[in-house]
Amino acid sequence: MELQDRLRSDPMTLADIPPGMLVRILQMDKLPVEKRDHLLAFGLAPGRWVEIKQHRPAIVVQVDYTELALEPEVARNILVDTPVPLRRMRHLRRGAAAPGRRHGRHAFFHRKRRGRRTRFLSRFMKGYDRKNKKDE
Amino acid sequence: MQSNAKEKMVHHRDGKCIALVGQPNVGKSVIFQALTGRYVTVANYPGTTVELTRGAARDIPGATVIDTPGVITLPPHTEDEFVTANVLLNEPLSVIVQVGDAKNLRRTLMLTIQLAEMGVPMALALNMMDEAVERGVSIDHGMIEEQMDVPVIPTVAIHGEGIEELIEETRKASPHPFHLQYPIKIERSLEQIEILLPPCPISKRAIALLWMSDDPVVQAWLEEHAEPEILQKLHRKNELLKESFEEAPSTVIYRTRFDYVDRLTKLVQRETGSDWQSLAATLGKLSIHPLWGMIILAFILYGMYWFVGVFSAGTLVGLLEEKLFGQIINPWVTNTLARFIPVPFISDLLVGEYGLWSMGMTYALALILPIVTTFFIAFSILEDSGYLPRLAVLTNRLFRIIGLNGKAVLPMVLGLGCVTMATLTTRVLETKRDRLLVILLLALAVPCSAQLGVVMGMLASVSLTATLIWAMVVLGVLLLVGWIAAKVVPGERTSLLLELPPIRWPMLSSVLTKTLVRLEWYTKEVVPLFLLGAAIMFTMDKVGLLTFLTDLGEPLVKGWLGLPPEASAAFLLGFMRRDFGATSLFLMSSNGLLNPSQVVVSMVTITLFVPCIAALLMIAKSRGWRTMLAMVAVIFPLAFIVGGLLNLTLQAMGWGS
Repeated sequence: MELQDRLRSDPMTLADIPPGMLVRILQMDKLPVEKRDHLLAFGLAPGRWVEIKQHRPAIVVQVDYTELALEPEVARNILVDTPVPLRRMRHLRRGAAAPGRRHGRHAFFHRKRRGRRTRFLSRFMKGYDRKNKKDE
Repeated sequence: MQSNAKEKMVHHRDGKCIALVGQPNVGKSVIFQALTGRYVTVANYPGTTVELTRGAARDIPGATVIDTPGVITLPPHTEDEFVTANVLLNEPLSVIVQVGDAKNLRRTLMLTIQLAEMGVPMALALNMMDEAVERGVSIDHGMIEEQMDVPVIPTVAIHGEGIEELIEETRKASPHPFHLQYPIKIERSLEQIEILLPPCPISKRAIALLWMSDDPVVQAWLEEHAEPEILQKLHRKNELLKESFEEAPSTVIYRTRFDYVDRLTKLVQRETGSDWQSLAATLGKLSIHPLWGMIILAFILYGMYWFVGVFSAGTLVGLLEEKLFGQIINPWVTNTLARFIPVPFISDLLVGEYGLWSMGMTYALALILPIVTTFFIAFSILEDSGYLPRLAVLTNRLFRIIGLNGKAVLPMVLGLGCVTMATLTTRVLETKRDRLLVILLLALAVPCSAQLGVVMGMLASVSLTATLIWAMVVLGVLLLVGWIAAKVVPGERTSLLLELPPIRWPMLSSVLTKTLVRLEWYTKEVVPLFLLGAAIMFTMDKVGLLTFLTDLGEPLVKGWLGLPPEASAAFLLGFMRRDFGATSLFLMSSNGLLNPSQVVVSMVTITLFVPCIAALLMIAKSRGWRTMLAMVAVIFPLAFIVGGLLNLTLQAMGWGS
């Protein structure tokens, strides 16, 4: 279905989605420009998956690892796609590809065997070392 | 304009100027501290840094580092973002160091593009790597470096990890040719605009892009630096561009950048998809729950009441004021004076009723110092934990009544620390109207830590009911005045949009440093004022002005408020600082001169009273003298009206007399 048709037939907004669901943002044209720019800057943009965390006292959503608190007035102007329960589709969160099994086990292995600092270095200095070698 | 360019050249030769730029609450100030060794206030909520701080870099000779307020994106939205935008455009920067949040790579890279387009040498510090690791996010930063041609250094600034590499990269940072291709229409107008632009401190492409997005700072800069006819041509170009697009050019530019960042992020970031949970995260979730949030809030408030009110103002002050000062130090000072300088005038000046030592120093050191110390400790813990933005979510409904949003709670709670500082922090609010309303409420009904401590100590010694009556009356006045003010002041309410930082365990060292820095500031600022206040009281007492003023105030203080006439002096002191006046009432009450009802009435009146001189000057500086005088004209009578009404009510109810 084309985006336009879907918007016409199923105009669901961020304020309609119950907590614990994942949903993809479709359109935020109805928001005033400053509010929209502000949200875009936080990473809440059409095409992104967001997780709805709660509705009261304010709507709280998570996009990437940023938690944002919004008022219903703002959320009502953000159109969204059909929601998906979080548990089933966790890998869709933040738009990432499904995690490779090896990767997950790998991380677990490191966590068990090494101290915090070594873990930090091993996971993030890898690229750095490679670059340094290149420089030499 | 030429002399301007020359000046910049001189700057370049003199030494490097390094700006730390990044989104709010990513740890710019911690990195600033690591680079310069200078302490700046750090906290776990956006908007801690509201002014520019400069310091000499320790390991790069001749270089200056500038710490800037957080900027989410350009064009700027709030006053503190304007400060940063101005630095980028008007300071002769030799290096920009972007500090970014590793776990929010997309957001970070969106800003990286904007900064890289400026053509100034730059480096990207991917900070808070430990938090990213905890959440199962791993980043191939070498790949970002390859793709964007910008050095990327992973850091954990609070543990000093990666700082050396960052310094190394900053030292050898060189201009880099980052170029993002926009849709053809945008590119064509960019070319046309770039030709028209005068010489710029940053790349013309960046200026042109900001010009198309209607950036107010770039507009102001061009109005100053470009010929009028060129400016007109530029305006026309912008209008033409807007007509030729269905959407705003800024949206098209954003989407191009976003698509690039999205592709890059998918390339360099791996997520294990682990179901990350921790006690801190659970607490964070509970703290904004409609029911649990309130319970946690009540728990925190009671904890503070006990720590500052009962423990500090009761136990500690009792020890210091009565035992140490009352029985040991003050008698010793009096005796020594009597022995060595037997001049009645001098001993009166130092240890008399309004003596510099017996009043000024004793108030400052024995009464207020222990109270503010405990308050600063409690407040630092709250700040570092990241609880304050969650308080904004909880209180949003309350602030809705008074035409504001929950964000206003940040300056308000800071005001409990120091109203002067909080007045400056109103910059994080989005509209002028919001800032004005919050400043009024701060000046009227938010007691600062010193005063709050005295008030809590005094009320805690009466009963919890007294504290609750005081809190309800002050809160009621705050809501009522806020409600009326929101109706009177023109403009629309802005709805809430706020980032919630992760809950973090406060670090002891950070809490202690922060407390010490604030205490140092407090001693420097308050002790001289107390001495001055005591000196003024002493002079007025000697020339008989005090009796005159006390007599003049007697109908108001005694008749209307139902307080003993000596309380007039306390209100006079209150002009200097509210806490000074409150302290004087505190002493009266511990000498048994006030009954419970009088304690509550006097505390409510002094809380609503005009804030200290420093806060008034800050209001005048940021909002103009007329606003400041108008506020005083409202606040002063209001404090006495409310106090008097409360007095009548309490008497009618027969409470506490």
